[in-house]
Amino acid sequence: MTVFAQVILNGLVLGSEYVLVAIGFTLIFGVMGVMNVAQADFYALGPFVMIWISVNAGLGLALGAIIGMLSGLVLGVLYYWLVLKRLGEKDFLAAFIASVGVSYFIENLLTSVVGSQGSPVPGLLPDTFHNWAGLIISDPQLLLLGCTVVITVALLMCLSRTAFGRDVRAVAESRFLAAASGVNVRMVMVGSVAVASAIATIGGVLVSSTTLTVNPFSGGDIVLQMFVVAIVAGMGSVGGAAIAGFGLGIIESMTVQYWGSSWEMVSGLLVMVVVLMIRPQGLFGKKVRIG
Amino acid sequence: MLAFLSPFAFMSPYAQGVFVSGGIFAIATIGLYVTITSGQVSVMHQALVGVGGYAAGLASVRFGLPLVASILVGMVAGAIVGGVVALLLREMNGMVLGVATIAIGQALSLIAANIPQLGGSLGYTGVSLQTTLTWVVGILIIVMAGLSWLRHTHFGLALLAVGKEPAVAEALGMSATFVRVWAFGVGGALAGIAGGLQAHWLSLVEPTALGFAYEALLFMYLIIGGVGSPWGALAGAVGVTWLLEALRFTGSARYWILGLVLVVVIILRPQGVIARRSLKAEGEDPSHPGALRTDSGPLAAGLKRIRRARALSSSVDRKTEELQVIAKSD
Repeated sequence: MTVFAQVILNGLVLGSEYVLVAIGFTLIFGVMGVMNVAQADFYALGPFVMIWISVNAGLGLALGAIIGMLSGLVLGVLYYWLVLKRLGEKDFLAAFIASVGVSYFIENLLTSVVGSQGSPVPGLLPDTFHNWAGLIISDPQLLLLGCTVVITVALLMCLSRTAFGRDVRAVAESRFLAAASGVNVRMVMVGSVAVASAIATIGGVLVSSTTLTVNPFSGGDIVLQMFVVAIVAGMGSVGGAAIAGFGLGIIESMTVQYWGSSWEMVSGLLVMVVVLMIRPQGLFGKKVRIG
Repeated sequence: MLAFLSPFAFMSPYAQGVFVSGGIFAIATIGLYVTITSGQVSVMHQALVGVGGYAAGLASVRFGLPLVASILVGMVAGAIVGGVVALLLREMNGMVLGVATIAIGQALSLIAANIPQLGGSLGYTGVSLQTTLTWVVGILIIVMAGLSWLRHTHFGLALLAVGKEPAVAEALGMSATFVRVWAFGVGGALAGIAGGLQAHWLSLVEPTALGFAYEALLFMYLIIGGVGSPWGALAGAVGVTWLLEALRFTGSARYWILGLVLVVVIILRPQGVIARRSLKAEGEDPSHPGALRTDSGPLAAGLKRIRRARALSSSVDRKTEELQVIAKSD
């Protein structure tokens, strides 16, 4: 029983990683209709920014962590103005491939700068482990899990309660009608991309402080899970992505425990195929005609 | 022995090598082009290249088949897997299909890595080195000739119609599923050929090469060259392979330069550098040598209807834009 509970707990920690990447991905998809592969690379960029500020520039861990986490805001705005603004409205394939190009660019630029092996990351919290009646969890893991829940709830509240959130939902529903009712569509888009990218960099910093290492391909390794979570949840559903992300984490953690680590990824893909066969719009998706 | 007879003997072995890799990528990219012309995205094309490689490798090493036979085995394997996947996923469209194919490609890669008879995660080794530039160029010529023939067949026309106007094509009695299975099959066959050639060129088929990471390169070749024609795919693959070689002095920087090139190309010309006309435009422009013969027969009536539908939809688009302008000015 303890083993089972521990597997679930590990799954929740693993799932936090997926949730933090996937809710931003699904937010951008909902608002812009763009499948943004580069989302996962912002997740890898965050920890590198933190390392550069706090270790290379020697400005201290706190400042490094804050700038690393918030770097996504700037990166997101830049990404929107340089790439998405020019493509998002044209067609789905062009924007998708452009984001693949950006992802390829970021991964290889980072490799050129820091090399392809992992860089050590200074942990935000000391790596102390707690033992609660046989359940083992470390401080950084608790921080990750707690922040994931807080960020998800905050994003959902923002979407459902604030004026900006109402505009975001309006644009997601119909860009044209939102513009007709006076919503500044461009501001909503740039805002959502910035928020989504910031969630990714925050996620990257928090996760890297549990693993204490990051490499340029950390993002590429998580792309597939990001897709699986967003698709299973139903593209565009933020709350659904949070549930599906934790669910995928638990499924993968169980697969590793009871089946073997080389099949970790297969279980998630299997779940996705089954879900798509039964509910092509995803578990929490609305049945709409795309394209 | 063959090296002396090669018409490419004037090239240095290095240049021949670059053209061989470029040509192999070109065959795979042309396959991706055929698949994508059906209007559906497949993000598992690189996995089909790998399937062809494993099949050709097995045929060559286990059963001692000669080069041509083992490449044919690779081709059939790629075609079958591509066609079966298209059949299984026939209800999915657009992005969902794209992601499902990513998942299948990744699953194929994992399966290959977990089968000890295929060499596990180290890859399948020991395939004889038989691919030469002569073979690659010869096969490329056959492929290009085959595609220009395909364009005049019923399947080629149905492919264009379903790719551009699926609803209208279905209304005219073309089966979108049938066309898609064929498009994925033909694309898979070309991927399989490329995989077979590659197995005989590198003497190695790796399971990681089936995964999503390598897929990006195929899309880069296709997009930089141009999605509108097989020539774009050919030029993109050979050109980018040479570009990467020419940039070798920059070390690992050449890869991010390639990423930058892709993004810039897609922003400036979403249809690619080379392709000026898409297949659709060829069909509409009778002065173009490759134009479809649409002056008579039942097809002419069908195409007329497609055009009328398209004109209608573009006028609806115009109306929408006008409304948007009005909405913005308010």
